[in-house]
Amino acid sequence: MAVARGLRQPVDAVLRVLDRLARGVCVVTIGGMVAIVAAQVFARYVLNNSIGWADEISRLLFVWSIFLAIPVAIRTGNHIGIELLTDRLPPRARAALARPVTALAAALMLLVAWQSFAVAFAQWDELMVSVDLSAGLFLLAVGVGGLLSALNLLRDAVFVATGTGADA
Amino acid sequence: MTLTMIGIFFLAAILGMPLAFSLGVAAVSGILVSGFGLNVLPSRMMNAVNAFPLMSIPFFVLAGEIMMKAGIMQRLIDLANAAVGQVKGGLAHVAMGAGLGLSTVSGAAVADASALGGTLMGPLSKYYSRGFSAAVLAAAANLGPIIPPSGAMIVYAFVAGSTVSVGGLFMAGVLPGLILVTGMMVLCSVYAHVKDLPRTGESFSLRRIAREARRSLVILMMPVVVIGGIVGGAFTATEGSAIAVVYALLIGFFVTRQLALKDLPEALVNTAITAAGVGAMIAFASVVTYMMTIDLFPMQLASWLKEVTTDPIVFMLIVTGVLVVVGCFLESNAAYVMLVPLLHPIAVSYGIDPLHFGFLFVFNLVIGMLTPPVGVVLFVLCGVARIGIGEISRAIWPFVLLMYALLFVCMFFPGIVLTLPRALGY
Repeated sequence: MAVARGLRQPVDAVLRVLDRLARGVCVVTIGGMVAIVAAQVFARYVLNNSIGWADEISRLLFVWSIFLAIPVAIRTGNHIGIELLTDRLPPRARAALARPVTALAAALMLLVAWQSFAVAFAQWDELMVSVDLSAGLFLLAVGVGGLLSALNLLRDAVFVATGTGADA
Repeated sequence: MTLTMIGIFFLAAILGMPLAFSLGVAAVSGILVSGFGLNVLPSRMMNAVNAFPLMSIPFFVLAGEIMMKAGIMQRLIDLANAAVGQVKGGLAHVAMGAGLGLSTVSGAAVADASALGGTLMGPLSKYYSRGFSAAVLAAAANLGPIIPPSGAMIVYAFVAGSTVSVGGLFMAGVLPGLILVTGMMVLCSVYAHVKDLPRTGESFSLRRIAREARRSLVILMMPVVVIGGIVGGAFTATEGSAIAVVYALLIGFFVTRQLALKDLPEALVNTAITAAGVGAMIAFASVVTYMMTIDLFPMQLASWLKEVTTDPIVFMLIVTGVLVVVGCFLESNAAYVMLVPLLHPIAVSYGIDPLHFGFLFVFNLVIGMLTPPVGVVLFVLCGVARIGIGEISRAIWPFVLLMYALLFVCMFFPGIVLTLPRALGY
C-alpha cells in the first residue's frame, strides 16, 4: 500500500495532463462541428453549393468529442448511477464494494480500447468516402477514449474508490 | 442470453456502477455467452454514435449553455414576471412562464433545469420552502423536451426510422405541452392559496408587458426560425440545432453583449461532458440491443405480447407500465436506443399511429426524469438547491401525478396529440 500511495502524485499529474488534452480535443471538435454544419446550411442557401465532406467530417468530430469526453466525465463524476443501495452502506463497506466495481468498469474500458485499436489498425488502409483520410480514425477515437477512461477508473479503484469516479 | 444480460445489468447498476458501464458489462457478458467475437464491441459502439441526427444533442445543450451565459434567462424571467408575477404565488408562475419560454428554444430538460435553477432558485427560495422551489423548477424544466425543439424527440425519430418524422413529433408535443403548463400553473395557484403565499410582483400593466415583450422579441423569434425551419423543411433537425447555437452566439455578442469569447471553451467542454454521458449509454446500449436481436428477443417479445392481448389500448398500458419501471433505472436516451427498436414496430403492428405512440413514449420517459432514483432533473436541482433527493421528492409528486394524468388523457384521446401534426400535413 505504501508503494501505491507513493505513486499517487505522479499518476495524478499524468492524468491531469491527459485530461487537459482531452478537454482541448472537446473544444476543437464541438466547435468544429457547429462551424461545419452551420457553414453547410449557409453554403446550400446562400452560395447554392454544398460542401461534400461536411457530413462525414462533422460525424468524425462528433465521434471524437463523445469518446474523448467520456474520461473527462468520469473525472467530473458526470456518469450517472444508482446510489440507492451504496448510500445506505457504512463508509467502510461502501469503499470495499466500490473498489471491485470500479475495477470491473476499468477492465471493461480496457477491453473496449484493446478491441478498438485492433480493429482500427486492421482497417487502417481503408479510406473515408469523401476525403483521403483513413477510415480507421473513427475507431481510433473509441480506443483512445477507452484507454483514458480505463486509466482514470483504475486510478479511482486504487486510490479513491468512491464508486462514482468523482475527483477526490 | 437476453435474460443474462438484463440480470447482469441490474446487478451492476444496483452495486453502484455508473449505468453506462453497467450496460457495457451486460453487453460483454452477452457477447461471451453467445460465443461471438469481441470485435463486434468497438464497431457497434462507434456506429451507434456515428450518426448525424444525434449531433443535435450537443448542439441543443451548447445553445442552452450559451444562452445562459448570454443573459437570455433574465429577459425571459422579466417578461414572465410582467405577465404573471403579480398573482398569489406569482414567482412560481414566473418559473413556469420562464420554463415555457425556455422550452421553445431549448431541447433538453437537464440543460433547462440548470438554467432555471441557476437563475430562479435564489428568488424562489426567498419566499417559498427550498423543496417546493426546487420542485417547481424541476417541473418547469421538464417542458423542455415536450415542447419543440426536443432532443428526446429527435433521438426517438432517429431510432424509430422512416415511420416517424421529427417535424411531426415536434408538432405532436405542442398542444399537450400547453395543457401541461396550464395545469401546472393551476396546481401552483391552489398551493399558493392553501399555503397563503405572499404576492411578490409589481401590479399588472399592459405597457410593462409590451416593453418586456419588445426586449425579448429577439429571443422569441428564435423558435420561429429554428422550429419553423425544421418543420417547414428548410433544414434538418441537426442543422436547426446548429443554427440555434449560431443564433444564441449572435444574441450574446451583439444584443445582450454579455457573452465573451473566453466563456466559450468552458461552454464547449460542459457540452462535451453532458453529451458524453448520453453518448456512453447510447454506445453500450446499442451493443445490448444488437445482442438481443441476435437472440431473436424482439420476435419472442412480439409474439408473447400478441398472445397476451390484441387490444392496442392494453398494449399501450403495458408499455406505459414498462416505461415507468425502466424510467427509474435508465437514462432516457439509452432507453430510446434499447426499447424503441423493440416496441415501435410492435405498436405499428397493433395499428397505433406512430406519432401518437412516439409522443406517449417520449412523454413517459420525460416524466421518468422527475422520479427517483434516476431522476436526472431532480439531481440537477438538488445540487442547485443544496437539498436531499427526499426533500424534493416530497414536493414533486403533485406535478408527477398531474403529468401521468395528462399522459393517460393523451392515450385515450389521440386527438390532443394528433390534431396539430395532421393539420400541418404530417
